[in-house]
Amino acid sequence: MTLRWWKSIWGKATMSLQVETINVFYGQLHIIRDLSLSVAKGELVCIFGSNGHGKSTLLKAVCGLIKSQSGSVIYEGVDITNHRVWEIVKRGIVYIPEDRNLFSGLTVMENLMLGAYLSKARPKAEENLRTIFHLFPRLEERKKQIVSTLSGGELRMLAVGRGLMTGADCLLIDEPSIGLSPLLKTEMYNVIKRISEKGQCTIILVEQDVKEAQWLADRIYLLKHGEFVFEGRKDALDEETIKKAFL
Amino acid sequence: MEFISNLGITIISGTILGNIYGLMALGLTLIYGIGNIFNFTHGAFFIWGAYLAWFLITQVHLNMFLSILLSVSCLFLFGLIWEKWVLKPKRQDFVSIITIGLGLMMILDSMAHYLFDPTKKALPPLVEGNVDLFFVTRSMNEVVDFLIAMGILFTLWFFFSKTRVGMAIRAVSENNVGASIIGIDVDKIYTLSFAIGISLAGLSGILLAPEVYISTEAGGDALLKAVIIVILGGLGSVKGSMYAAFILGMIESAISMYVGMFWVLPSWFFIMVLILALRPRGLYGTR
Amino acid sequence: MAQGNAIKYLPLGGVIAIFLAFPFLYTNPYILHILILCIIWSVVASAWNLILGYAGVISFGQLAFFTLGAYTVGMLHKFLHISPWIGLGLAGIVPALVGLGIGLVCLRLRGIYVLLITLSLQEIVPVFIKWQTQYTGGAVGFSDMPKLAIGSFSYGNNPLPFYFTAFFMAALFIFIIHKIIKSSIGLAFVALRDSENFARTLGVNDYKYKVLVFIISAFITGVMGGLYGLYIGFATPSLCGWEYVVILLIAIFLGGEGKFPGEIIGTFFIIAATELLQGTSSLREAALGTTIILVVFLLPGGLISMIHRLRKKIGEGLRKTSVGAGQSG
Repeated sequence: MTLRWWKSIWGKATMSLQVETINVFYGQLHIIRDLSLSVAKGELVCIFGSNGHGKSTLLKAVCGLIKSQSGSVIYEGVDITNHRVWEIVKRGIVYIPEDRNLFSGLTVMENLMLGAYLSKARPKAEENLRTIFHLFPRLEERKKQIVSTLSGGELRMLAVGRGLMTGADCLLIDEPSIGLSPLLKTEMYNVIKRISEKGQCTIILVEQDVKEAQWLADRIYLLKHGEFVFEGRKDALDEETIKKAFL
Repeated sequence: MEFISNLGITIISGTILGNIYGLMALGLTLIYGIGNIFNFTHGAFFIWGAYLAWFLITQVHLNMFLSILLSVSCLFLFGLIWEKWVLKPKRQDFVSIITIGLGLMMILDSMAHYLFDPTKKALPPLVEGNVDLFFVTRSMNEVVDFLIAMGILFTLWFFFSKTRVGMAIRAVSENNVGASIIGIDVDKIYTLSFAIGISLAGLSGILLAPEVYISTEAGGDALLKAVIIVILGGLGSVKGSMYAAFILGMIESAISMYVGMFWVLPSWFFIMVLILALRPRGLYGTR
Repeated sequence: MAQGNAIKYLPLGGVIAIFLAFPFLYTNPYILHILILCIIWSVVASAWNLILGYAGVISFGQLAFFTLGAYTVGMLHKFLHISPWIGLGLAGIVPALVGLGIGLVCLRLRGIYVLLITLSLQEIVPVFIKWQTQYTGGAVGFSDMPKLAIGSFSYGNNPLPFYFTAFFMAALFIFIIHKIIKSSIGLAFVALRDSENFARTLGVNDYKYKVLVFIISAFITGVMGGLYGLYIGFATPSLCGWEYVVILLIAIFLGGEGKFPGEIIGTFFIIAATELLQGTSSLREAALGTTIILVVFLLPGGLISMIHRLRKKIGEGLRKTSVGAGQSG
C-alpha cells in the first residue's frame, strides 16, 4: 500500500487522462521512457521540451498514431492503449498535429464539416461552427477557399478548428505556434485559453518555448530525452530548472 | 456524304467509348488513389462482371437488369471480403500487394477459362433496334449503354460530394492520417474503395460486352487500356481519368474507322510512352 | 590462410562438377530436358532478381524481353539469314535496346510508373506479335527456328549439346550477375534499397545505375530467350504470358527475395515441379496463382533465409559440442 499505489487509485478515480509508464520506440531508438502523466478534467497542461525529445511522439502515442510497447493510456476510466486512432477519437480525444494533416484539395468549410464526421459530433456541428468562426474570424472569411491557398497561420487555425468540430473533450495540441508571427502566436494562445476557460475541454499543449506559453498552464511538465524532469505548477518553475531541461 | 457519316460515327462512337472507358479507368484510379494499391485484377474483374452477367442472362434466364445488378453485387461483396481478409495484412508492402493481385488474376482467369469455356461469348444487347442521331444510324444499345454510363457517373459524383461516406473516402484519399484523427475508420474506407473499384471494372465489362466479344484476352486488353488512360489522365486524379478516357476513346474510334482496329493498342501504347517521357504527371496528376 | 580460401570455393566447385558430370551418369533425355529448362529459367530469374531484388526496380516486363529474344533469333535467321550464334547475340541486343528506351523514360520516375510501363510492355508485345502474322506466325507461333551448329556438328534435336551450351552460358551470365552484385554498383544499390535518403546524400546516382542494370538484365534475358527458342524449336506469344511471370516470382520469393543465389535454387525447384506435375493448363494457372499468394504470406524471407537460419543453428550446434566444459563460448 505505497504512496504510489494510493496515488494511482486516486488518479483512476479523479483523473480524466492517465498515462502510465509507457515506453515508445522508433525502431531501436527508445524515445519515451517509462513515462507517466495525469490530467484532470478541464485542466490545461503544458508539456515543454526541445526538439527530438519526444513531445510529438508522446501525443501520438496517446491518440493511437504510434504504438507504445508497454504501459497504458486510460481515458475517463477506459483503457485505450493502442486502440485504433478513430476509436480513440470516438472516445473523446482529438490530436491536432503540428504538420496539420489537413485536406488540401478541399475547402475550409469542407474540412471543418468533415471534422464533424462522427455521429456524435453532427448534432452540435452548427453550434461548433459558430464558435469556431467566433474564435477565428479569418476562417469564416475564407470558408469557401481551397485549403492549399491558405497561409501558414490560417492553416494552423483550421487545424485547431477542425479538431474542435469533433466535439472532443480532450485536445492534444502539438506546437500550434510554430512558424507563426508573434502577433498570431498571441492570438492562438488566447484562443486556446478561451477554449480552456469554457470549462468543458481538457487540453494538453506541447510547445518548445516555455517563456511564451507558460502563462496558459494550470500545470507544467518539462520533457527531456523522453522523461519528465519537472512536474508542477508554473510558480514552482524557476530559471535553473528550465535551463537544465533544455541543455 | 459518306465522309460526314463516317465522321459522325467516329464522334459518336468515340463519345460512347470514352464514357464507358471513363467508368473503367475510374475503378483503377479509385483503388490506386485511395489505397495506393495497383489493382492487377482489374482486367480479370472486367471480364468476370461480363461473364457473370452472361451466365445469369443466358443460363439462368434472369432478366437483364437483375442479372447486371446481381453480377455487380457479387463482385462488390467479393471485393469487401478479399480486401478485408487478404489484402489488409499486407497493405504496407507494395510488392506483396501487387504479387497477390497477380496471383488472384491467375486464379480468376483460369476459373473463367474453366467455367465459361474459352470460345468467345457475346452478351445479348440490352435493347434491340436502331436509332437515328445526327445523320447517323446507331444501335439503340449503344445509346442505352451511354445513358447507363452517364447515370452511373452522375451517381458517383453525387456519392462523392454529397454523402457522408463519399466525403470520408475523399478525405482518406487526401490525407489518411488527417482522416483518422477526425474519427474516420480508415480501414473500412480502404475496404470499401477496393470493392467499389472492382465493381466499376465489372460494370464497365458488362457495358462493353455487347460491343466486344468477351474472352480472357479481353481482360488483358482492359487492364492495359485502363493503365494507359490512368497514366494520361494522371495517377490518382478522377478528373484526369475522365478526360483521358474521352480523348483516348475518340482516338480509338478514329483509328478504327480510318486506319484499322489493330492499330489502336499500339498507338495508345505509343501515346503512353510519349506522356511518360514528356510529362509524366499526365493531365491532372497530383502524385 | 590459403587453405581457408580454397575451402570456401569447394561447394561451388562441387556443384559445377556435378553439373558437368551429370549427363554422363544419367543419360535419361527427359531429365536432361528438365535440367536445360531449369538452367535457362534460372538465369532469367537471376537477371530479374538483379533488377527487382537488388536495384529495387519494380519491373514486371522481363518476359517481354525473353519473348523478344526468342523471336529475334528466329526471325533474323528466317528473313535475313543471320546465323543463329550471331542471332543469339542480337537476341540480347534487341531487348536491351527496348530496355534502354523504356528505362530512359521511366526509371527516373516513381516505382509505380516503372511497374505500369513494364506491365504494358508485357501486354503489348503479344499484341504486336499477333498483329504482324506474316512475319511472326501470329498467335499460332513461329516455328522456323534454325538448328544450332558448331562447324559441321549440328545440334539437331539432341539435348546433350544444348545442355552444355546452356550450362556454360548460364555460368557466364550468373558470374556476371554475381560480379555486379558484389561490385560497387551492387553495394550502392543495397545502400539505396535499405536507406534511400542517406545513400543519396552520399552522391549515389541511382538513375544511371538503374538504367545500366536494366539493360544488362534485358540483354541476358533476351539471350536466354533466344536459346530457349532454338532449343524448343518454336516461339509463341504465350511465352509473354503471366504464367511464367508467376513461376519466376515464386522462384524468387521462394529463393529469398534479393538474396543471390537463392533464386537459382528456387527456380530449379519450381520449374522441375511445374514440368513434372503436368496438369490441365487452366488448373495449372489457378494452382500457380494460389501458390504465389501462399508464398507471399508464408515465406516472407524465402528459402535462402531458412537455409541461413539452419546454417546458423548447425554452426552453433557444432561449436557447442567442440567446446570443453571449462571454456567460454
